[in-house]
Amino acid sequence: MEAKKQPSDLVERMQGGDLDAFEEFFNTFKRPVYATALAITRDPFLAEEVLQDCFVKAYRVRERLDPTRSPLPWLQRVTINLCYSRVSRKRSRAEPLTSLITNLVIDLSQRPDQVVESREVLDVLQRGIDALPPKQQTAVILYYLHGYSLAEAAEVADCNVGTMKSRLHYALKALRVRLPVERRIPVRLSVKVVPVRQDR
Amino acid sequence: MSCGRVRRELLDIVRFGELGPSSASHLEHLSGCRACRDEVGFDRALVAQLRRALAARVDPPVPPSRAWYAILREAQRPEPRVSVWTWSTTLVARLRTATAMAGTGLALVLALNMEVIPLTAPSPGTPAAESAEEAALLQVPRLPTVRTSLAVLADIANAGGIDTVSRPDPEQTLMQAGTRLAPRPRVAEASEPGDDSPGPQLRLLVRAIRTPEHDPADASASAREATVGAADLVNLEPGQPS
Repeated sequence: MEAKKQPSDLVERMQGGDLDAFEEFFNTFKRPVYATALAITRDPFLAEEVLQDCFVKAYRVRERLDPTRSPLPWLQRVTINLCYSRVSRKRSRAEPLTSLITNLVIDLSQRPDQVVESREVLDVLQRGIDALPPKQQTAVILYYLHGYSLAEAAEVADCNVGTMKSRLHYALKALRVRLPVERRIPVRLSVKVVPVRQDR
Repeated sequence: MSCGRVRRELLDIVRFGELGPSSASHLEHLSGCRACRDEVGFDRALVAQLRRALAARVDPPVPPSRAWYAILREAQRPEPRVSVWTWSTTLVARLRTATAMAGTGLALVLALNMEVIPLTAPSPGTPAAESAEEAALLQVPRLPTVRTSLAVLADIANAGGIDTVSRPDPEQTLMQAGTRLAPRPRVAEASEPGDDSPGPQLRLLVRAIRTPEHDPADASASAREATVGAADLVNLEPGQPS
């Protein structure tokens, strides 16, 4: 994760009340936290609220943060919890502005029929992601959006690697079922069988 | 190797990149099986579209710069204390839950104590009936609770413990009698198991304790009727000769 690159004394300085350290802390982790919030809520304003609450909480409980470990899994966990507590409160949310913009912007490099098909598939997937149970949605966001390893995603989601794998399997299965057969993505898979090196 | 099993493992390999020495046979199968290739290809395409869909959700990927100032302002503000209102509403909610649970428990204890469910069959020493109504009463299942309550009511009324004239409502009389009760012994004899329908005793009790109008002029008569009805019932009980 990104936090591994950060100086280990950042949290310690923050614990000493250094506001510059807190700003550095915010700038270091704001992107993944905001991305998670936005991916779950699909609402930039709500995501911004979640981001603020998450970092304010981090500052208030800074004494309890472990300086020897990356705070990112904790931040992500808090973000996920804040998101779901807010999303469940406003179930019937309006169409987010970002998705409207996405719908309006057309990639002109593609043929019109391809554009329509691609947009339809994306729409189906967006609805599919929205309909996933929170744990599967979190797994998909952590693994496929953030690119965390299974172990890292499992740490954030507070489960073991096997459970994380299982959640991803079920999420993909649910998404796959949502795609109508005629809209399925054309398969163009060329296989090159390369013998696996066995050093031993 | 069956396609079903290979596909599961192939999907694991493709999704999680877990290539190992045992993967060689799977890849070999993949090169020769068109159906598995399509399956794996579809899965890869699905994941690619999923990544695009997720990336489209995170746009713009950076929070606005105003967010930091709001965080700084909020973080420097003293932590809000729990208000008295919040504390009291929480307390009220907890008390409500506790009351509901206590009420349920009390109802359960009362139901058990009143022996709504008959325990045993009537004892063999049942006295002979003197009239057709009494005979009918003896044939039907007994409700020990009703009998016990009426017995206590009759005892108290007969002993002059309750002024039935100044308290004309027999229901009040029964309640007052209940408050004076010591813990009652459990009544063993009862009707047939499983039969919990209210029998003539209950109907007689209702008739005894409910008069059509609580007219003060008729109060003493009502109380007398109740007492007489109760006494009659007690007299009908097995093992309790009058």
